[in-house]
Amino acid sequence: MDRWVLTVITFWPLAVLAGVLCIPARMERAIKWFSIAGSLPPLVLSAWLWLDYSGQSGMRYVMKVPWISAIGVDYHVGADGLSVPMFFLTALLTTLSLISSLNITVRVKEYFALFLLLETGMFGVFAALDYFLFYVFWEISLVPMYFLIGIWGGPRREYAAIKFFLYTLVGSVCMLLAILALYFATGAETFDMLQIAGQQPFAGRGVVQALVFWALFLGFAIKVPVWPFHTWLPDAHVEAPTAGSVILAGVLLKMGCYGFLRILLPTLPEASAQFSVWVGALALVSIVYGAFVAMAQMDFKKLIAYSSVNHMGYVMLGIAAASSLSAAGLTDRATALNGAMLQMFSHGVITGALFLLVGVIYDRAHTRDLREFGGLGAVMPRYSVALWVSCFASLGLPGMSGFVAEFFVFRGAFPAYLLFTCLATIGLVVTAAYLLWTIQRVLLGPTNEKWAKLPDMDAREVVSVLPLIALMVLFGVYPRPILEILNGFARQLAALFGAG
Amino acid sequence: MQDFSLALLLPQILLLVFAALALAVGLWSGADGWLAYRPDRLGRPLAALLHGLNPGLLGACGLLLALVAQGQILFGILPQFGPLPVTQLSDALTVDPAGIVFGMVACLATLGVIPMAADHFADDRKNSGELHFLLLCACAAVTMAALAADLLSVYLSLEFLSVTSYVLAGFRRSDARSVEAAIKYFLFGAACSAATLYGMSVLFGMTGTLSLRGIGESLMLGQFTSPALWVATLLTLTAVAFKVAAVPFHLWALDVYQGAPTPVTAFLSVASKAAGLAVLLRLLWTCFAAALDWVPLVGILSAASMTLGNLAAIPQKNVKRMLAYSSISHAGYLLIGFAALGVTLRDPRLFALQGVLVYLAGYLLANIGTFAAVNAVERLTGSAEIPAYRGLMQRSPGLAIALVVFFLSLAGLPPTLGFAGKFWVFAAAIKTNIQLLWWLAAIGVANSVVSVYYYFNVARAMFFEEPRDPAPLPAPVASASVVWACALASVALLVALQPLARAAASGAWMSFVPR
Repeated sequence: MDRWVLTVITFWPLAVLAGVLCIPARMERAIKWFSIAGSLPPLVLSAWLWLDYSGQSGMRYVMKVPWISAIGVDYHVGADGLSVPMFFLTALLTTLSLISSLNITVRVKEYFALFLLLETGMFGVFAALDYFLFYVFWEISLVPMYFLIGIWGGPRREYAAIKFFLYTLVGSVCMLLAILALYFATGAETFDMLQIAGQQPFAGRGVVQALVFWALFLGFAIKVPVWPFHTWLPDAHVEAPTAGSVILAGVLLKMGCYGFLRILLPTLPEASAQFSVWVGALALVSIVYGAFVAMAQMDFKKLIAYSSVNHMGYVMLGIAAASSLSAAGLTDRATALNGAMLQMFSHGVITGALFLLVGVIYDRAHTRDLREFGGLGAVMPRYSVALWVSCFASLGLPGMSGFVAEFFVFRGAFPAYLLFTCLATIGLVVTAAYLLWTIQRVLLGPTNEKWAKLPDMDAREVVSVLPLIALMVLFGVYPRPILEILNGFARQLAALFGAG
Repeated sequence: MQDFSLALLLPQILLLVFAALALAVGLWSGADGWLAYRPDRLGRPLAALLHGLNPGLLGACGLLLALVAQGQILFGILPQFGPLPVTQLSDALTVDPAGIVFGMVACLATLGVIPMAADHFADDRKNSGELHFLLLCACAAVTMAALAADLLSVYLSLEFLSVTSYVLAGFRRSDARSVEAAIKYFLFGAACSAATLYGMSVLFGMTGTLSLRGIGESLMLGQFTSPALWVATLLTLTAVAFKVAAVPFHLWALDVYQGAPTPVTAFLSVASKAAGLAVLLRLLWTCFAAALDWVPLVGILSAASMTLGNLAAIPQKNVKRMLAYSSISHAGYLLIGFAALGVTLRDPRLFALQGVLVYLAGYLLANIGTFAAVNAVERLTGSAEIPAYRGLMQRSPGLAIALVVFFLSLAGLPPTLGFAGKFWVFAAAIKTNIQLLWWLAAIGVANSVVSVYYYFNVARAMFFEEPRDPAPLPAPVASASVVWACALASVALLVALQPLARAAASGAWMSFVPR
């Protein structure tokens, strides 16, 4: 079981996909429910993974089989405190996205097939411990999203789809070159991530190390996205269908952060420390700029999209602080990392819910213009509660998971980057402002007569949002179950940068 | 001069015999064949048998037999089976693993072309004999060129290939574009061939021998002035670069790829290119490796081919023309591998050559598959323009999905063999640890990104746009089977890359290792 569990989780959706392909395209209900049912086993298994892993540390569930021994490629998967929550997040968001996609009416078979392919790609990225395998999954997750945006997206979908594809691809090919450089630098002819990280190639080789660092940085930073590489994000998020936006913001962005934590920091600690001030500065810009730009949006979905730039900035700030050159101690660094990873999970949950909620209102009103709403709180009480909670979680209200994550990041980053941390609080304030303003514009005030007859959330919508809201509150009040899992990884990684 | 054995030429002999058979059967069989007029002349059973034979079937049999023979020879001369990985056949030919592998690529490509031709010329059966005769002859020419070990056999096999290709390009005599393609191809080819002949004569004058090995040894002594040597080299390489369609000898490819019948285009884009690559490899390796530093030259050709091919492909409206530019760019990627090989001549494993072979395998599957799909769409809609692909996903989902697989492979994205090829070639470049090659790899990956744009422009039309006529299009069986075989193999061979990698390691052996 231990050896196989990750493989089963990763490739299960492909098996379901094969099943979906066998169902005739006109049997739309069968396709939908078969896919949803098929997405449950990975969810159960990843929940089991979470329970099983808690209280442990280090790499577990490892499976290593030679694949292309001619060039030293293995099929090598494993999970640790960094990836276990990501598995759960991926499985959960996929299931909820599929449930929320029950209202898809156009080309149903292709839609669900692509979604399942996407799920395999995402699982694979978080499972892979071999660079070749990692890259394969990284790219596999790209292609279905291109089609999801391009076929079921909004009015500018074709532009958004290809922009997303090309932008991410630029990052990936830079990453590819860096991976090859790493491969040959070790001289061990292996693509094993852990082994390469253990050897610390390029230690003491200034220019080459810097080149490799920035190549990898670009690959991951575009995905996160860090300012100024974020311009694909508003287009892709806004044009994507609701479920696509959920997965984009909830999981695909996390792949970038995951790359920083799994590859960049452990493999090139020297360069990471050297350049961490730049990473921190870019994170700060992302935080402040993302918040202000979000505030200026009149499109609800675009506002949430820019809020992702802002929120992912906190993750990057935590990562930069953990790898800083400063005298910060092990605990501070580990705290920053815990915060960053918690923010990854928490942002996935919160933004997932927010995109679903934007979808709910767009399906009814066919507009996302914030100026046109008002007083929906009275019309749609269930919707109103969900939006209140999600927005509060997003702006970091104590008692919600967003608060815990951001608190950890700020606490951890404070000793390392005093100035950045202080300036980043601007982002907090502005975030609170635009989210409260959004609530005001959508839910409060006089009821717009146009929307007086809008029906409240139906069962499908409630079911797809409720688990996310539960998690926001659960980890806000009692974050211990997730911190127990994260902490082992955080301390291990932090130990590379500062002694206790 | 050891071990002269005609058995080593069995593949070529088989190809030519079956070419002749195809021609003969083409005369007998068919609605207006000789047998149709006098069925009683041979007695009923024999007549029925001959009637059932068709040149395409014969051609496919010949190719399969040739492939088997090549496999036999390849594994018979591998180091673990025999004392030497190389067998010299007189001075004119050398049978070494790399040469055999390039020949096999040509045979496989031609094997994929034959079903396409069955669909493409479904309304024009009466020239089937000639068509398959020419295809098999051209294929035999490629296998010869890949083994050529002196200037004369290089020139003769390339000319053999050219002459058959000219006729093939103009095979649709009723189509003005096809005829135009043939004429352009011929004029351009004749000029390049003349330049090469001139270069060869200079080389011969300098060294007094036609044998590539002899030339290599003679040049190694270094008694020749560099300018003369460079002139001779550049001129000699002209016809080769023409076959490979590397910039600046690529101009013919555009009109020829677009105008020639699609199966012929597929042949030119893979088999003919393989011939050029094989000869280029042998010339650089055997003749010039020790005498001059050709790595920058190959690097420039490579960068120019990739960049120009990819940029010029972007605005194309015709898929065949777009694929012409794409095949120019693929010549560039393959040349990265050659440049890396030039730097690492002393690497006994020939890592870069392995990469080139894996790349070639990926390119073979993806390009033959793409052209088979283009052929099917052309058959169904009568057009190769991008608007003909609109909404193909809803009309013929199999073709559309397979085309996406091929595009991923051509762009070098997983989960396809094309990714493994690019990965390996770029790896070989990075491995050299030389700045020039690093730059080349960087240009290569940048170009891969550009290429996604135009490949997925077709995917966009197929998936994002609504078809003008939503009626389903059942793909013609023969082409569709090639499409599916190539698509499945493109994905499966990435998963099962290890056997292919081993085969590439076996194939990466060249005679006359320069030291």
